[in-house]
Amino acid sequence: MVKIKLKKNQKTVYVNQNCGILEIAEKLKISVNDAEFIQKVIHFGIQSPYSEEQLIQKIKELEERKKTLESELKKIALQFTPLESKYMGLRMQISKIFNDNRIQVFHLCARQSPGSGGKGNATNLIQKYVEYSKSLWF
Amino acid sequence: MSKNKGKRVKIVIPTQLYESIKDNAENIIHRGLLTLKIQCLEEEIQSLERRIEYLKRRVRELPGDIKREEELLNELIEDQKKLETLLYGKKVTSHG
Repeated sequence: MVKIKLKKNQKTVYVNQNCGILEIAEKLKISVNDAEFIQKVIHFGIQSPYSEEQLIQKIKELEERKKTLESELKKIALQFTPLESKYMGLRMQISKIFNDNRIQVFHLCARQSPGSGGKGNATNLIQKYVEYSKSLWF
Repeated sequence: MSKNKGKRVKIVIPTQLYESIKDNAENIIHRGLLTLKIQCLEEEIQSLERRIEYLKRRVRELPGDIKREEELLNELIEDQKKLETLLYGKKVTSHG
């Protein structure tokens, strides 16, 4: 099964493409000619206490688990998306009205004569928006 | 699918490393690849679990957050009306 080319400092091994080497290399964004990658693969192969059949079985189980989770993610995303959209819409509205109000408060401040103390309602609003402006939330 | 059947991928290995696996090279490489694939799958699963956990938490929290934001929005709309009245003398209409 293994064809070897003899060279000075390196050997060439041919492995079946069906074993998934290209798929894994692509997923990890590395080349099969990357020496570090190959060394890592060989290291894993030597260290692994499991047989090919056991590893294949484990992969099947993990792929099943992944499918289940992807399906769960889709379901939860269907609940999350409209809620998040509504929340973000409210935040945008709040931000716009708050900024409009703040501008109006500046106009109100400009209208009040110095030392007059202002009317109760106006003073409360001015104080409120000065306090709000300190908040990073807006 | 059958197009790729039997296709071989060339892998170049340093001689020293090859010497340590030469009796079982393809099997070792294959098991190494499968182990790497398991690691990738486990990472993907962990990432999915984290995303699901985050979304579940947000789905629980968002109704409360939305309620608070709606209350704040109503308050700001009331302020807007008061400010218009103070600045331009418009009648304050109750927000409903």
